[in-house]
Amino acid sequence: MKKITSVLLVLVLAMAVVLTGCGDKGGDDAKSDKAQVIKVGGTSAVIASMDPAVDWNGWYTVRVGVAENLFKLDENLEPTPWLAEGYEMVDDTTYKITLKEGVTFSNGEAMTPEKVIASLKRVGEMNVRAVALKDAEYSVDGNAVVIKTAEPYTILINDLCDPFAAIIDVDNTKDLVGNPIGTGPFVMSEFEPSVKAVMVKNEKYWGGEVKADKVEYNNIADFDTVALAVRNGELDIALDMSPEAADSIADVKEFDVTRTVQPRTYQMYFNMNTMKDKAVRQAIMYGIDKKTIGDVQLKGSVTPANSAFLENSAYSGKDLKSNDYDEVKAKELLKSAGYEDKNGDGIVEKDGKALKIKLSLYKRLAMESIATEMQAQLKKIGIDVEVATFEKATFFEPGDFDIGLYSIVTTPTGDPLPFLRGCMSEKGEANYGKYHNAEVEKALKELAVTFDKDTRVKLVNKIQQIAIDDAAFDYIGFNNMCTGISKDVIGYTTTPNDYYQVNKDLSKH
Amino acid sequence: MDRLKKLNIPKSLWILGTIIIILIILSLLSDFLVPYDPYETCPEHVLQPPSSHHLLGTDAHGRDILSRIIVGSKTSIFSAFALIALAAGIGTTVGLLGGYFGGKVDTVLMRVTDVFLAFPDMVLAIAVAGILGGGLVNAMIAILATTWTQYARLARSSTIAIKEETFIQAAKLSGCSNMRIMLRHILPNIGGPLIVTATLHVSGMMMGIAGLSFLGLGVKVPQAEWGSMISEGKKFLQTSPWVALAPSIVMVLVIMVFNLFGDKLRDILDPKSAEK
Amino acid sequence: MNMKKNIIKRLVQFIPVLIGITFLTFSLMYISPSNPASVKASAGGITPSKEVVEEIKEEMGLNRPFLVQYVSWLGNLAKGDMGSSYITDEPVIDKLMVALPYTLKMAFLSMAITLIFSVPLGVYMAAHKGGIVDFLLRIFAFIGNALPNFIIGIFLLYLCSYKLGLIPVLSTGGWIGVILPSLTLALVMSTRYIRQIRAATLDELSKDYVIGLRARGISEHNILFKNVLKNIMVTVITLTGISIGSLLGGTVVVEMIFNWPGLGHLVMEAIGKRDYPIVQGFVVWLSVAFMLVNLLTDISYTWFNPKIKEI
Repeated sequence: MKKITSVLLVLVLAMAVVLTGCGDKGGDDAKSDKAQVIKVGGTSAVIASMDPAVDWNGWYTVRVGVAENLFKLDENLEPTPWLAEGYEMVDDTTYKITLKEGVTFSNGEAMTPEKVIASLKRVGEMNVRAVALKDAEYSVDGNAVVIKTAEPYTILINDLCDPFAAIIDVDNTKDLVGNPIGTGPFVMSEFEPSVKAVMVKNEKYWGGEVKADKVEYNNIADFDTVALAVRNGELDIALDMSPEAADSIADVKEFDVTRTVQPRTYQMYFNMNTMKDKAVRQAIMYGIDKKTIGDVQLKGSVTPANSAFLENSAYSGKDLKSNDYDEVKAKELLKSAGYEDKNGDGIVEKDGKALKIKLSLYKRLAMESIATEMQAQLKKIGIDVEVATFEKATFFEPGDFDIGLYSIVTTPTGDPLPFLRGCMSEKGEANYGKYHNAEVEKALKELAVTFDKDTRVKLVNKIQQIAIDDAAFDYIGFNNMCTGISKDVIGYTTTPNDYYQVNKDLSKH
Repeated sequence: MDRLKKLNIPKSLWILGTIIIILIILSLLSDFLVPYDPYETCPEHVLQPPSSHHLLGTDAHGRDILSRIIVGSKTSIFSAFALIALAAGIGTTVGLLGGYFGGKVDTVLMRVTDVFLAFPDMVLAIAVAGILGGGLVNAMIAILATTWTQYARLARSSTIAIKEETFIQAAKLSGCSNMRIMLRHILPNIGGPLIVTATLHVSGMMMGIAGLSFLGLGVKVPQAEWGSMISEGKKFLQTSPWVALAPSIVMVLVIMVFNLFGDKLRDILDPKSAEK
Repeated sequence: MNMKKNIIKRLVQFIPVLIGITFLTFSLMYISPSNPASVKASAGGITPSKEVVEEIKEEMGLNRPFLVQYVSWLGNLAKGDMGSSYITDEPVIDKLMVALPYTLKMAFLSMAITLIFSVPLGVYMAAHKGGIVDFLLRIFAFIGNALPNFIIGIFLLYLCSYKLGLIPVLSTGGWIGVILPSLTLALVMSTRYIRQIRAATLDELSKDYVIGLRARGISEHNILFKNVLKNIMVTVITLTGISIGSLLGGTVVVEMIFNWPGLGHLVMEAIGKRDYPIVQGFVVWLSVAFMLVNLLTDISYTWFNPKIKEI
């Protein structure tokens, strides 16, 4: 009997030790009753690293108010000065960018031209989208940075708006992943990759008093849970809500749902290596009913499109000749290409082989929903689609798809060039479909050195039309971002490009 | 038939057996029984609550949930049966050989078994399915890797227990080949507990496959399967709970039927362990 | 008693099994359809060229024969080096250590809940066999036995979080967040525990010594608490040993439902990213832990029941 008691005692003690040992968190939230804490949550609210130079991470660094750029896009997606005072084009390849006086990093260090150069050079080294910054030469001229590009480059200032070019005090940052030191109104205080990011007020913010004390970004597993968190009063701002989730909080009085048209499209890549038959690619384009997907299935949260660029932008593809939904035509195309359903299983075959296609996608916004709908639609024209879902975009093998579905912002800096070059140029960093067309290549080169707006529009349209005629890309439509914002919150920004969210004026009533 | 009568099968077992046979027939005929095409999406009718049109409502793509549950039964029930057949086949062979021959054969076979037994529960299954990359077949391989050992152990211990019995010795003396002794004399005599284990295993297998599918490591979209339906429904628990709850309830009911049947069968075939 | 010698013998027996486990785990990665070099190469978010992949392949030693690769991996493992994540380059062991406390917290809490409820209930049911409590609990155990953990989890989530609003959804790491997943696990385990403990107690109560004790006029209460309870401990320990093994795995499904950042969550994330070193590390860690728990279980048998000499 003694033994049992002692064993039980030891067990209980062990549990107590383990439990208290693990439970060291919590309890520090209720520090001050007046502290302004803004809680933000979404299905992809926190990324694996806060280092702005890496990949698309800069979006998150700028969103949360930790880092800022030399220039900022206004609501018309035109660059305006931010950390810079302004710029001057000395010649076709030389930009002289004057810095604002009195800007400091959150560690108190002044933002000098040298530090700006160090930051930009690093981005050039680290981010494939920043080739122009890599090939450029930098020099200091008083309080200005002089950037000389390798060849005429029309959109350097747009590139400087891209969050990858957020200015970081590179030399003094010890932890680029968890705590990059920028000039923004907030400073990282806690970072759990892909789970949680907590920012506290930057007491030394150059732009004036920062109103909120703390901002928390939380990753939440799915849309339904986001809606639940809103209902429970656990969030002040709910990012990227699905239409169903947005509908479900319609009765929550304290919340408003804002809808913002975004240049974020669902882009379809055809793998040119595995889908050599153009007729099949065209049939797929004709076989997808974008209107049903966008208007009905997704309740208008996706606006159907044929172009990569928004309808109201200068580069809209209004005049493009596209392969609009036409089931009959799709079937005809397949038939004339030799695909017919001979065994009556609903799937067409050619030379006895059924037409089977692998559609790869990753979990982001309405991707899975769209894929399932596409799968059902393509089955109607006799194509068997296998859907492979991945956690993140970077997890497919190069070319591990027949059709790849991506969610992408096509004009991240207001100009179409980076997007087009990325996915259509042979050496483009996002040319996952291995597309190549000499004419497109030539037009892209021209676009990079053309300053005249009308000529640029023509070039962009030309490129888009060739890509459609080659049946290399298609777009399902643009995302209309749904953000739930508590009525107590003031100063939160929603912009089409979705990388300005937190700012110094963000606060609660 | 005479042998069956001698066993004195209780009525409850007959009833349960009949229910199970009906379930199997239903799942075999599922393609003809469904009120709607389980794969036909209908964007106009997404997430509709249960109604007279859709008895169990519709899912996020407007597909009829009842139809999907019915079609999903085929995947769940038959993959469970197939798994058990394979696991019992492999496990019994290993156990029988090890137990009968003993010595080095036994040592080697049991070491291999030990290795597989060293992985707790679903861990190996998840790793196998995860690394092989989903799909029903891979999921089944994954579960198979973790279940065959139970049969191997059981078959081995029963074989050892029975090996020294006089009738086996007699068969040996009369010049029967080892193969014949194992198949004709040992196997029928150790079959009872194995069958009981297999029957009790059906629900476990169904849960295993559904569990992997729930994690996204089982069947691929859009295939209807209970685990993946529940997993998908989880995303709509707050707004449309029926998407997850309907397949859950059906699954639990079916598992209960199999469990009851297994319990009753054990009472008859393996009364020793049933006493507990 | 030769306890020490037996333990050493058992530990020696571990060696072939360990080699088997590691071999199996390593082969898994080897036969996986995706190429580790390209997973690693594309970790930066860029689709790598064939040359880069080839280079990394060489660098990772993937061009060496299978057995050479295995032995070198095993050598590192013996030094406690489980390799590093393809995606973040962090050592696998560090990643496991971050997730482990969460899993332990959940494992202990669920184990505690299970034992606190099922031991008294199981014994009570046996002592009052055929009573109303026994009847109701047997129904409960039967239904519970048919409930997969994910269904229990979903149902609890629906009820407590969605319908009653009892549990905040964002407090994953804190105290409140651990309650629902632990309760889910405890429910699953309790159904089995209650059945087995009841059966073990009944078994014990039918033994001769109990009849003897009764004949000597010892009260039923004393028999239960002084004799029977001690003897059913073997059953309880066996059950606990088995459960701890799988609990240490973080019971992946439950962690996924409740978004609990333990080992199971980690491994599912790693699978999604094809970050196989983490999956391997997880499997190896778990099987070793499981074997050690089994050993401890066996040792404790001899302690509680000196009749079992051979361990």
